[in-house]
Amino acid sequence: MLHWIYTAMAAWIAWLLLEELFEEKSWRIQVSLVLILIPLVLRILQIK
Amino acid sequence: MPLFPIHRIRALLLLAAAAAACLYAGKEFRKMNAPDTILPGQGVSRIRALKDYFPNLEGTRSDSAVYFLESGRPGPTVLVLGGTHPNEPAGFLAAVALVESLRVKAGRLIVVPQACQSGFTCTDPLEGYPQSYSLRSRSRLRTFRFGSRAANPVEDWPDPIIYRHFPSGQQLSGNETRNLNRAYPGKSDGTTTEKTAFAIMKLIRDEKVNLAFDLHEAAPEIPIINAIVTHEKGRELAAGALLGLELENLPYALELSPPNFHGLSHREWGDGTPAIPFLLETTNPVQGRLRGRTGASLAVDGQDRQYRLAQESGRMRITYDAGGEPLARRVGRHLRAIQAVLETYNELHPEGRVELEGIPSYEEIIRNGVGSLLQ
Repeated sequence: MLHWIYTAMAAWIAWLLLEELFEEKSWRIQVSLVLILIPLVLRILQIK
Repeated sequence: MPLFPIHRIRALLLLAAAAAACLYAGKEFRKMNAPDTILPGQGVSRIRALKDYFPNLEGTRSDSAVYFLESGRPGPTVLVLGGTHPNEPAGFLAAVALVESLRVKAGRLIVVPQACQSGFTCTDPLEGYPQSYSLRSRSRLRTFRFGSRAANPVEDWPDPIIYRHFPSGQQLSGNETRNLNRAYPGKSDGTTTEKTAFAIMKLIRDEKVNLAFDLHEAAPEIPIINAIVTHEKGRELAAGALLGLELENLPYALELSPPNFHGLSHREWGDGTPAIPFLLETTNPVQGRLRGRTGASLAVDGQDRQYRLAQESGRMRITYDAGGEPLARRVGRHLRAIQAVLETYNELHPEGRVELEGIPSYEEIIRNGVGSLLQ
């Protein structure tokens, strides 16, 4: 059960990152946001 | 304000780059789900799986092949487990060598080369481990996965902060939750790793295993290297084997299993089943904290400049030969130590012997390489 709660939390954080990515104006912060996004996506898809 | 300001176009481009990175990384990670090829030799009479002992493992990453090498003649049943820690390739390859080359003339042998099958599907983060390594066998180039010390975290994520061992209640660091050699005797409704441990305990009981070996490796700076760790009931056999190995110039240490350190094979197999357990350790520079560049060649050749310098300086207590610690030596040690324990068993039990055939001598393995043991 905890596994799926954590997966849902990862998905929620990924969504927040996406929202932030499209609002953020600094390219440096945008690059940081997508770098954080990659491992989250891999974990949500149960790949890594 | 324009509908597509520059920062949003940049966000889309970065998102496309992230998707490409995910696709590439995902493809690389998924490669590790492809099973290793193990070619059963003439000595293998049948193949089962851990799910046959515990059906809950069916369809999971943790189910693993169980090879039977049966002579049809009476004698003890011997279990050999490789790949408890998939980042310790000598244990795995020694078990594969038995499956591919051994013939049993009396008694029977059960081999599980990939006890922690799930750990073969990933590598440890931040270690820079290779995903695979290759060896030239008797007939071809063979490639095997170099896995992680513990089971794949995807299955039982998140690890708890503290791992509480069942049933003792012993507390360890949370990441030990996925360590098969901290999970015995296992739990039928526990984590994936506890279920795997439960299946192995059931295998030992159902197959009436008399002697059980768990093959491991450790970093050169760990004190328990080139050692046989055993339960109280294996003391006599291990001591006899050690004497024989010393005479062959293969020094080993005898370590007794701490009675209050729970979850380990040499403790729980001995306490919970009639089997006499032995855990064998060799030295593996890939696991060491001092190592330099880490890659497939270090896993196979065991040559590391940092360890050589440390050994030459004499300032560190390490088990490392200046010429390296190749897989042939480590696999050869495992195979020779198993044989030495069985030879001692045969001396003490002449009425029920186990006889093995087809394993070259230690010197031959060193001379011809570990690939000579594989088809």
